[in-house]
Amino acid sequence: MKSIVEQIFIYAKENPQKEALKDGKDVMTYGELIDRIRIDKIILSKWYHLNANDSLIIAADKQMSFITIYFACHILGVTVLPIAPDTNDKRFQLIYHKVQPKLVIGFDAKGIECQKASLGDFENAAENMVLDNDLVEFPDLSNVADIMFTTGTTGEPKGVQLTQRNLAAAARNINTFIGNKSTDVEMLALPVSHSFGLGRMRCALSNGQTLVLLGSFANMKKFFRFIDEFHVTGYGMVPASWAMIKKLSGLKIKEYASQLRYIEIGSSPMPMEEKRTLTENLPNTRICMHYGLTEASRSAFIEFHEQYDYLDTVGKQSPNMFIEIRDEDGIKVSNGIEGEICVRGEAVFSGYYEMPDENKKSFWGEYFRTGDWGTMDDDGYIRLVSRKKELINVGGKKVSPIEVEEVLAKIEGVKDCVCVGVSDPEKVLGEVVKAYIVADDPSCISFDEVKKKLMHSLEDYKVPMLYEFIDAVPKTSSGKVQRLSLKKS
Amino acid sequence: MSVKEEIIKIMTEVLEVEESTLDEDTAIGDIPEWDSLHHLNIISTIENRFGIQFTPDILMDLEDVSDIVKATEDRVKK
Repeated sequence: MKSIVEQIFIYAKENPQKEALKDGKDVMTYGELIDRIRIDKIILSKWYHLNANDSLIIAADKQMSFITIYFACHILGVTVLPIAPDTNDKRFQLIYHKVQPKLVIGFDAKGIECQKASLGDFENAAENMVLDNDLVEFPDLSNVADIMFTTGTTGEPKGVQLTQRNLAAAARNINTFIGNKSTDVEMLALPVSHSFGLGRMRCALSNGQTLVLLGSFANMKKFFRFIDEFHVTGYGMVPASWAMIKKLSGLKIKEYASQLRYIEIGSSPMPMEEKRTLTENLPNTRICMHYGLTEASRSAFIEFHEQYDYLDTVGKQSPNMFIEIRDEDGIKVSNGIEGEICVRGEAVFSGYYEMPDENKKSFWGEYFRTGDWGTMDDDGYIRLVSRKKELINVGGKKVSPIEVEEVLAKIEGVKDCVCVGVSDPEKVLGEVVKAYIVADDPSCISFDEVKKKLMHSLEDYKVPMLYEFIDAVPKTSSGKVQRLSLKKS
Repeated sequence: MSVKEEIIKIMTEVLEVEESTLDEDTAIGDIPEWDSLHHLNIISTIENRFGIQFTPDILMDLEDVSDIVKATEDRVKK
């Protein structure tokens, strides 16, 4: 196995004229891409005095220069800490003080005395730079390539350390499952500050594909214009992106049914109806939904057409990944029995940055404990029950908020909803379920009516005792519901 | 308050940005705050505030602030 950046260089040497990156204004070929990576490496080392084993923070904006700096760090042996451009000051400071990076790129680090640069600084410097004849040394697979700080619904952000081996193995596993080819053109509309978007970028470029950079899914006109103009054959999205595409363009996507070869969908809950709608309207597209975490990228996959009868599951373990369901003592449980989803494989991260106690708690041997609860059936299909820490404990009985939400969401007038466990006001059951509802028109919904309807489909203890209207369900930028933020309020 | 003023007000509230960061040519994605989720939030706030509904073909054509203002004005007049 070779690092992603080495794979890109090998492909580029053989196919220098092939288009690597496009953004609607500029085009960068593979030949130009590796030249820019080498130039950015010189800038990092000569101008900013970065060496192997240093680290830098970069606001991950979807620009070509972000991508070239990212890989330049990898050939220099510098660890990259990508953050979202809109990271708040408090979070930034936590990350900064924890890692003490040597350089901050593209982020207004208020109140911090450190070496700073903008993406523009690299572009300007590159204009006058001449490439040296130094041979490029590729990183060792055991190098920590990236540290991704998890969104963290509670507590301090945790730095997920990903080695070159982790990144290369994940890309290999994903490309194997999806079956994308070097002739594919992928549109990247996901944020590159998260592991999904960054992972898609690595998958496409290590595979010799052309990557089209799109600001965001919100600009639907541009989304479809790019699909047309660049003959896009695949893209990644989260369920929230699909909700947006449908809301903003109806089912226009089906006009591209014969063109789109694949779609990868991120791991957050997606209503069954939406899965079916996509499958029916894109009969020739491989629709691959993954289950994974930053710590264990794409642990499982399901392809909607081939595994249509299992759309209620997250699929089976990905190629080269191994999943076991274990109990709270770390013992593997029998098929069908609920337990914690544990994952092993080369794509599983090497540990949290400087958190030895957390690292001890997070693994059973080689198996990473995801904190997610689920079951595996005799055919290997995994059903996700809940995030372990989000399970609601009603008088000793565990309730999955997802199960309640799925029933609640089907009630007329309920646009979106989220359920959390709150202290029982009667102080009998410990916790009870509380439902937060987003309604088209709250005056048309009576909580008593909702409760009655839920009684038909759920066991008594699962029916929410408390209700409240909210304007929107709090979600992370990748669309994951932040239940714990409501629990705290 | 004109439709345009009201839309700018909604957008500054939803995006939590200063009014000076938005002008008629500011397009989706030009500022990091204007991402997909905030865009949907802007649309639904405008629909509720003006009591109108945008169809997908209209929504697809919205690229910048002036598009949103014009689409809203067209619906409010009807």
